[in-house]
Amino acid sequence: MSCSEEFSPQNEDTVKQAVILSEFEVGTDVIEMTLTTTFSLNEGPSHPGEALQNGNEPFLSNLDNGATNKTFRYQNVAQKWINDAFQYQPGHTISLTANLAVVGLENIYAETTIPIAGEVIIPVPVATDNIDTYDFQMELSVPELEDNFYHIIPYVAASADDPSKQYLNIEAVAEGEASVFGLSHIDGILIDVNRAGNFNTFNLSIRKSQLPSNPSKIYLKVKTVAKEYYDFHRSLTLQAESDQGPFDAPFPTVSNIERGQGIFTAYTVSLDSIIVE
Amino acid sequence: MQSQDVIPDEIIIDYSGIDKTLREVIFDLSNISGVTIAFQEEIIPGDSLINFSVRKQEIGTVLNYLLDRHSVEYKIIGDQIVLIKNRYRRKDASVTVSGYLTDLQSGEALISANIFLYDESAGTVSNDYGFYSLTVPSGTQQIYYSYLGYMTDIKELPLRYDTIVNVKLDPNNLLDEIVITDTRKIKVNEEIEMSQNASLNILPLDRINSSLPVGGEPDIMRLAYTMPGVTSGADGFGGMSVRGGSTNQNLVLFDGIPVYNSNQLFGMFSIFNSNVVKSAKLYKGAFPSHYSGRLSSVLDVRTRDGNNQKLAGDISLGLLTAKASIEGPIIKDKASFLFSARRTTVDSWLRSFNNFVNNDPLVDRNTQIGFYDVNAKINFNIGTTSKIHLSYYRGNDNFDNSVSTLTSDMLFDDLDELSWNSGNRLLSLRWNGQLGAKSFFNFTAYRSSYDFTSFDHDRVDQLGAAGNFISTTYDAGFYETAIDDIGLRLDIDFDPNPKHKIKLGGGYVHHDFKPQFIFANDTDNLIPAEELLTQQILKNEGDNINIQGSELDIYIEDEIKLGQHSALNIGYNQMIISAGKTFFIPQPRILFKTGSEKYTLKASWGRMGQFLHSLSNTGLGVPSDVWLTSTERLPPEISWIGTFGQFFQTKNQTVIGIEAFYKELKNVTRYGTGVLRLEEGTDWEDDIPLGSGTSYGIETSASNSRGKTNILASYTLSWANRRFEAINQGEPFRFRYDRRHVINFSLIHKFNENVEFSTNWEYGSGTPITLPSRSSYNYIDDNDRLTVVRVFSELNNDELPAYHRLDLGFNFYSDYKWGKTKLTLGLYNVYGRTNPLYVDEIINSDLTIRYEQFFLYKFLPTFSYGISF
Repeated sequence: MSCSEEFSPQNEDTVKQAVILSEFEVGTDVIEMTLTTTFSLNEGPSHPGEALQNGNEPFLSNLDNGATNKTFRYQNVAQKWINDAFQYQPGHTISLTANLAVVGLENIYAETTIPIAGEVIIPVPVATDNIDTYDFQMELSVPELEDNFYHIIPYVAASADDPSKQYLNIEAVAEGEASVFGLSHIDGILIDVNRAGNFNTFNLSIRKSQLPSNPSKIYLKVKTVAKEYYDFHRSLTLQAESDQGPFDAPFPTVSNIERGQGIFTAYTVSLDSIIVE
Repeated sequence: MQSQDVIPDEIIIDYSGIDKTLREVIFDLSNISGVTIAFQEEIIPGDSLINFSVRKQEIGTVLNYLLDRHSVEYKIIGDQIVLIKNRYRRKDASVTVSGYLTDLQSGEALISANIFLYDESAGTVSNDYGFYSLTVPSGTQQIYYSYLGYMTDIKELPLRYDTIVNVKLDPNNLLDEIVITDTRKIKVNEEIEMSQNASLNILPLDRINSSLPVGGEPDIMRLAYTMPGVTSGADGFGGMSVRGGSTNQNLVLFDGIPVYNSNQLFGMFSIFNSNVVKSAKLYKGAFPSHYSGRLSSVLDVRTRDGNNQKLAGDISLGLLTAKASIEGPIIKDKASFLFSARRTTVDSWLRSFNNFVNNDPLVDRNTQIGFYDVNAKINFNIGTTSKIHLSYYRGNDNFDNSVSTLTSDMLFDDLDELSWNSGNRLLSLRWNGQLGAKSFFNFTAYRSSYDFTSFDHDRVDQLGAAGNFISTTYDAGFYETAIDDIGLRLDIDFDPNPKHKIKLGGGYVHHDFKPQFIFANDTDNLIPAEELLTQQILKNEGDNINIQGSELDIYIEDEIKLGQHSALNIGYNQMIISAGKTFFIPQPRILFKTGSEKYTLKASWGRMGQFLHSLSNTGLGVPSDVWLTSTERLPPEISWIGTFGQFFQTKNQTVIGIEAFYKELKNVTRYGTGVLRLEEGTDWEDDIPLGSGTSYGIETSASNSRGKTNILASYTLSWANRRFEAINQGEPFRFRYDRRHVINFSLIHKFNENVEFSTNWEYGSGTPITLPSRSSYNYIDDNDRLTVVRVFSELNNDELPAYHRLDLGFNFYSDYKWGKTKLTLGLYNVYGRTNPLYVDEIINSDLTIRYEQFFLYKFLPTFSYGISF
């Protein structure tokens, strides 16, 4: 019953924007960042790293301790920017500035607040009737900051430091479902404790068929993340999972980069494990 | 004709005059009678035109009829007739004349009929039940009862006490009596005067039946779309937006009962069967205080009661629908019934069409679409002063589309199915009648239910070489919005004197919402892998969340007549909402009009509250809205609107209007970014962003009904936007129904009693759509997993091409002894404009992006044939 013909958009939105991707772990000495551009699907991104050297490097500032203009340096081979020995503490707000007019892009600016690490309180196995899943309960502490967000990544490995990790999907959430958001573009789940009401206990299930034979432990990498991290990754998964068809609401992604795209944020990491019985 | 022995005013005359002033008529009477009729010009109006014919009447009687309403009388002086102004005014006590106006042939109540004293010093209109109350000086009075399309009845009544006068108006013109049909004056009054307040548009029902209907089905909502300030999606899809309001902000009343979704077949038709509709009023600006519950507009539709004189019926068959109705007396003059049903016919030929075009053995496609509805009504008179009405409405829409595609190697079977089903059920008991000479009441008890379900299922089965099942992956989603309202309402009209029309009353409604959202995939293990997931299985997995709330409104309103052409409607409605916490929403309303016989100035201002939220995605606007109540964390929506307009009538009887409006909205809602999970005890409201909106614009219109041709044209220039902190980076964006320019033109011409021609041209700026930019970027995680992220610059950053369409049609009427027939032939979208419904993005093999726009049809022939008896 329906027919089609070509449609020409009135607004050909092809303006290039800077893309900042910088997610760093609190406590590490080095803050890494990639700076690229948006691109048409049949092209590729450009890396304006070299053109920004010699006076146009992006820089960090600590809005709490007064440190300013700590510039990044560019690693040509890896096409990454590095900033080492930048001083900050949990709770500090740091900013990123990049003056990109020299490469034909708009100047960008971003801020993030270093999160205070939350704590997973003793994840414990839970007995259920389901023989196909491994069920456990974990409780999250609520740090003093108003926003409380976590990214939890379960995996199995020979040891905590073993680089060969097998990441696991969390199958179901029996309790606290409203706070949990399952990611699909990266591993793990996001938790927004603010949405859990008075409860911060979560009962989670992992399908046993995912597990290699006889693992002794399931590791839980617990990241305490900032709100922009939560919003950014949630929006990426939503966009990736939607058809983006005419019957669906559009899913723009979230970005905390002013006049650009991407993410600039920090997270803490703690590691816990559950004994597999 | 003339004799010296004949007294001048006893001369018998025959006369017929068309489009003449009263002075011209008097000159003609003087000429044909041979009697000099002398008068001073200033006592006889010379501007408005009348149609007048008379047979075998004395000229004195004729002059009395013509002159009484202008306070002029005649005296015989010699052989001349001299006209003089009657300065006598009776100043005695007042009395009230009240009663019901009904149709002589069917017994149907006549709504908004004019009742006025001979000199127009007092006048009123009948209410929604045909009741009127008019206070006049005591003594012998001439009272005029008039209604468009009916013969005016003039009653000379000796009035000493309050008197009940029930009047039956004849829809036929008879020439054995004096016939004075001041049609132009009445029509001008109706277009300007009858709009007794600033926001009211009375939808002309004769235009519904004369205009070319879509697929042969006349529809009142489509008539509403031609009003300035009213828009919809393409071809009615998505519902009605009034002056920048959302489609869920219209109070649609079916005999006083609020309806949640008045659309059928995605908005191509409405739930209102034209066979049963008696009247329709549309309020676009601040509406009077007796209406409450929505922000943007009121569409108040009243249905007929059924012929209480004789059995009658209609059957019609069109390209898309078929319908039949029957009505008649249960007890003549006292009780009647009305039953009407219709359904689509498109489903039967669509299936055949699909089979015809689908000749790929690897593809099994099944599309079904259709609706049906039923109206039933029983009415009883209790004595002479009150009535009981029992009404029932049931309607259902369904759309099912499933496509199963087997790959050429027969190893994968891809199933795609989408199913929508919706329907309203309305049940009401109304009791109304006179409380006294000056007051009227209406009590309504009702139940209004609405249900919408959506099931979306994508599945890929992997098969073995022998066709055996190996494994499957699937994704499915089910959601339902189920609403059940139980309400009571009492409205009282009180007209203490000719200067005041007071309304007071209130209503209570209890809302019960049961929304459900359930998603599943193959990892959930709901069913064995080889079995097919169905809607019912998925529905059973959902949580039965129940959200309840109640709403109370109490109002008082006074329409104050400030002069012959001036009125002030001032009122107050207090809305009280209980939903976790109690909300008090004051709703003051002011509507004002003034002017003269040929000019009207109107203004209105009002504040409106809405307890109910409706979530719409910004996609196509299909009936997937989820209705929710306000809660402690989701406050009611609020709006206020101001309007200012002027209307005037030219010498050739064209009415030209220009009106400006400004509206602000607060606490409006929509789907947020993400999946809405409704669960008891959780803060699901956090997933629903709250925002604000602004709309403003200018509407112009011109209309003329001259002789056999009726023309209506309008142009609207308007802006509408929304703003949500959590969406679009908190920046304002264009609202989905922000259509900058909208033009409507329609013409109906009656060649004669049997042939009628109609044409309609519509133009509207394209509706805003959201297209991702052609840019992306790569996100790579710690494990080198790549995600391509599409960049959106802003919501509604582009728009569909402008919509325009020309329709042409003919109606052929035939009268027989047993009844009438009507044949409609026409073409919708004559020049084949491919008005797009939506745009889809397609990524080519070389990763370039192109867009395709989809349209429903190029040409749509219209055919319907109907019989009425």
